[in-house]
Amino acid sequence: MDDQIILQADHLRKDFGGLVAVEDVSLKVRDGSLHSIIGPNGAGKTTLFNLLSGVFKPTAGRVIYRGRDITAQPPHRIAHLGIGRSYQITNVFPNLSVFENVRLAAQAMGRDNLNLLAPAARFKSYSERALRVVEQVGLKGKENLLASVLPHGDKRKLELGILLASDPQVLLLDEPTAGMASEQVPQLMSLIAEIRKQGNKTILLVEHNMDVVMNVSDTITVMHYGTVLAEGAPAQIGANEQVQKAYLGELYHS
Amino acid sequence: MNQFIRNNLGYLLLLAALVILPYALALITGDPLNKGLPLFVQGLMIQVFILAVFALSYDILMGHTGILSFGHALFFGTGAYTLGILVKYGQWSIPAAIVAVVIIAALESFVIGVLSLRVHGVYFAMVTLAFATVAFILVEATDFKKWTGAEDGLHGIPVPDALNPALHRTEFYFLALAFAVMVYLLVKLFVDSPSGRVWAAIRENEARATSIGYNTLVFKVQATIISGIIGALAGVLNALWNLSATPQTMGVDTTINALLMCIIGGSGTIIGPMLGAGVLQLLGYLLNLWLGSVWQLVFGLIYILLVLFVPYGIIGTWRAKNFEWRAMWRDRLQRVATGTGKSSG
Repeated sequence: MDDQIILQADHLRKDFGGLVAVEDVSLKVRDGSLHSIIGPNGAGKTTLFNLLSGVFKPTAGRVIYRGRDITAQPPHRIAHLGIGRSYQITNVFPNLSVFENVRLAAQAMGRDNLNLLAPAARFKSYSERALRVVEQVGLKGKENLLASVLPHGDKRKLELGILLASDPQVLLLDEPTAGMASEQVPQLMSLIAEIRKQGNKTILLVEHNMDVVMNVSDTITVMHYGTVLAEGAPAQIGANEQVQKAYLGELYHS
Repeated sequence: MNQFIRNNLGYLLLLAALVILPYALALITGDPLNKGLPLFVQGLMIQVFILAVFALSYDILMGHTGILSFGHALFFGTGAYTLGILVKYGQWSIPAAIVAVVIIAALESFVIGVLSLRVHGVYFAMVTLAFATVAFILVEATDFKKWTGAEDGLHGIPVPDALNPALHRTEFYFLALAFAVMVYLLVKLFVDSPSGRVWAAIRENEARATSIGYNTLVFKVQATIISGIIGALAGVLNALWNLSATPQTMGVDTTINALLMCIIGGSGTIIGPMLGAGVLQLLGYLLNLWLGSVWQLVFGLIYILLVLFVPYGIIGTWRAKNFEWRAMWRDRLQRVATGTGKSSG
């Protein structure tokens, strides 16, 4: 069983001065699974992502990827190891074209980054990969627009495209549907399911809205006040009283 | 080939005009090339070319990588003083001295970059200002007067007659023009390269550049070194033109001038800062001629108006308008073609 664990958080804790954002979180993500993390605002979901992707160093605990301790690795190294992430708040390169946003992510994984003397356009493999990804996320025809002029829904797609272009093995998706029009949400979720199936990827998905993840997840971890409240298959989580309390408050059951 | 000419028509016309300029002036005024107005204008333009290269080297950091430096004059001065000292007191040949300048500027920018690029924004600007101020104090210090000439500067750099700007003004004019064109082409090459694209990513969003796998410090140091070397080479040409190196080359005014040139011409557009150098230099000369010592006051006013109404600089604003125009038309055509009444994007 344990050899199927691709990414593991081992008693992670993160303090910001007096504030404990993540108190004690352990979780194991199985290779090839779609594992969702849900929880109310302020549960520490995004902080956990920042710990897993190396943006923050934990106050205590370890991050283990493929059996290797990566806690001390800087974010760019973690990206090269195969863990990519997207952001809840759109985080793109605003004054570059959609194509260039994605192409840069493809180029990052290659070995030509220090080349100063040849036009980037000559490195066809990155451009081709970028075009494929642009099409995959549904931005075909908008390659030459600046990222800053895209409507919000398209920015979310670009956010995902930047992540896909670097072809990570583990995708950390931080509320990919945040702020999207509700009719666009199923479309994006099915895209995520398709990515996972095609590339045999592992997806760790943070969601605020429980309904979005119920049908697609293999495992759901519920976070509350920086700790793990419950973990299990979607059906178990749906039936869990503590989870309902965390989401709906005590009144719901009284 | 036709395509190339069409795409670069503006640049080619500008280059042609600059090539013809001395001869046209000689023809119009009836003066020989090395007298009167032709001589004077060539001198003015040589300074423009030198400053254009320096401004462009500054913009590699500001416009292309998004790094604000207040200490770029350090490299200009390094080029001028290194060349002056090695040629005058070390009896080095000029090519050997230029090689030394490149190596020293590379080391200097590497050390400054590695030490200071861990801090961002205005903090980095302050650290670079500190480095440049130290250098300024050192070249003004009487302790090294024997080498630097202290406050007076280092004068009388011996050069072969063929390079003497007083004797061979037109040759020097073309040397400086060729230097500016070469640096323009080089920077264009760099900016379009894989590394140059990473600089743009850092300028746009450094945190995201890190998260997609770039060790941004490496690329920022790389940009700093290239910017430093080119800035120092501009300093070399400045020393050859004046046959001297003065503390002013290390001064903060030199950096601020480059910054103004980039902003006026259009930061991040390559040709913009070079054009900005021309505008600033020529405008400065003309205003000084007409208004005397209050010219800087008037220039300040013009500068404020430019920032208000031409916010991305001459070239940047023009391109932004053009881009909007193109995007608007593409969008309209697309809607017509697909028959949708409302734009989807």
